Amino acid sequence: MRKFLLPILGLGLLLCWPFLAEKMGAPALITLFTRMMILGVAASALNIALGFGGLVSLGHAAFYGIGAYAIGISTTHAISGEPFLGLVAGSNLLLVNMLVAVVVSGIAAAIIGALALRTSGIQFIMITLAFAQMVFFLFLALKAYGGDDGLTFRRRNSLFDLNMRDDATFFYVTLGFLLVWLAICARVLHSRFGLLLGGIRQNERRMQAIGVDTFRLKWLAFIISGMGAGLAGALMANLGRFVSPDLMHWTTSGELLIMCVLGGSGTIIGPVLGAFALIGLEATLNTWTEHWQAILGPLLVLMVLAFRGGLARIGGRKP
Amino acid sequence: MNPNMSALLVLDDLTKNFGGLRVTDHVSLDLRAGEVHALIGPNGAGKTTLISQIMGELAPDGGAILLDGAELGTLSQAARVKRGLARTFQVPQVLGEYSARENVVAALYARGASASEADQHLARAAISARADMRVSDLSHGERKQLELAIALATKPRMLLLDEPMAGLGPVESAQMIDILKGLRGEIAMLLVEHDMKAVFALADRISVLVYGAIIATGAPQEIQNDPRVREAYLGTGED
Repeated sequence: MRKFLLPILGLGLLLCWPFLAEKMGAPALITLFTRMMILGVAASALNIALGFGGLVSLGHAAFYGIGAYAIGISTTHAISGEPFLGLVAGSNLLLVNMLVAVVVSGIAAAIIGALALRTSGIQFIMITLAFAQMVFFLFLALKAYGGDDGLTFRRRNSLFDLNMRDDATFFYVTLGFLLVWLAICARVLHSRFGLLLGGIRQNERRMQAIGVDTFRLKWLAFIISGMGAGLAGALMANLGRFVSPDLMHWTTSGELLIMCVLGGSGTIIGPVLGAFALIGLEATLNTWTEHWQAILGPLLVLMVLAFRGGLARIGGRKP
Repeated sequence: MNPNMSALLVLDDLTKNFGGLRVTDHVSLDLRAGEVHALIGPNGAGKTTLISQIMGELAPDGGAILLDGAELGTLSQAARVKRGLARTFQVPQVLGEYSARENVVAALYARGASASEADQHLARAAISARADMRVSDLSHGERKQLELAIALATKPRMLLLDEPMAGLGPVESAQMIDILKGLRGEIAMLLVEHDMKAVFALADRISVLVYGAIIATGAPQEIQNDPRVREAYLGTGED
């Protein structure tokens, strides 16, 4: 029961948060927490590759950005009425667009993973970074969809009869997606696939010697991970009603890595805690000084040293 | 042991070079079903390299490896394990963050079997008492036993044992010999070993590998009396 106490308290706080933020006279905090949850989804997605599979990817910004652009492009075509490539009509339905975003990100992860996973260690880090930068520059040059100015769309995608303009409503929609995603992560971790993936992270040679096709399993993990990052990108595009190549900049991949390490890679809830901690610190320090990054850097180092194994493992817990 | 037993695994004129160094020099061997075939030789003779080639970890430069008469060619390690090959390592390769049972369960999952089989494999390797211990807390000898349980969980027909007695004390070695005796006749074994007591207690036939080449193959008594083997490896007993 103790194991579930903190997650239940956390969930209770999130459920009350829009009311609390309104009461505090700070409605902007609703959007801030929505952003934290979205980046929590993205960090948890990276965690499937990093924490479960031991794959240190610096390319997840690409899948995050591709998910966001899938929303931007589909919504733009739905508004203009012109089919995408003259073939497929756009959509303003959230669930349809989310599905498209997740599938397209998954395909991108399948292609990049099929090539990158032939390497390991520092080569894998560099090749995922290189692919992400290729995608970044591709969208930077894509003038049809705004180039470096990005794409803006007026309304969030619609979901049933919900008022998606309302930030509190979108907060709860995001919370729903976060919970579904965490349930998927838990299912993956506690499945046969999760046990074998953890084995590959610990000792790939051993796993090959018992007949595991380690490449195939790592590839599957990379695809699921990419799909999760795409889901997060799709939510972020809806939050801001704006997408730009900046979403895919390599620093986004770096931030997701920091969230995983800070929160506790290899745990279910850790990357979400990492996202809340990092974005919370950024937002707080930002109000104190314009040189907030000079404080944030050393603070992160201290936190990682103080909470070895991440925030999720404080007191020996591994949620 | 019946000398007419059919060959399960055949190495046919196998060669392997590391740069200018020939580590496997036209090796031909037939390993029969149910037989314990020991492979002995001095350090650096190429015994582990031979196991790595059989498992598909290393590609031979020449020759062929046949299992049940079918050439393994470029088959992956996973495919070879599915056909009944399994190995253990000189330095135990285990999953340190998992329990002993989870290590065996991973092998069961890899072949699509149920986790409920795990206990029987742990019992055959005499490691049941440590089933729920984290592997990083096990002793070297227990890890060796666990590796054997993991290999058994893959349901092998041919077990390639790379120095199973290495680093074990006399009591642990005796226990390992007993465990391996329990598998005789059921699973064929290629036993790479320096411990001659274990070799002569277990082997039906022995091959001697020196500088990558087989210099003799025969029954334990023949090998013990072979002057080439005594000179190259076992010693003359006059020192």
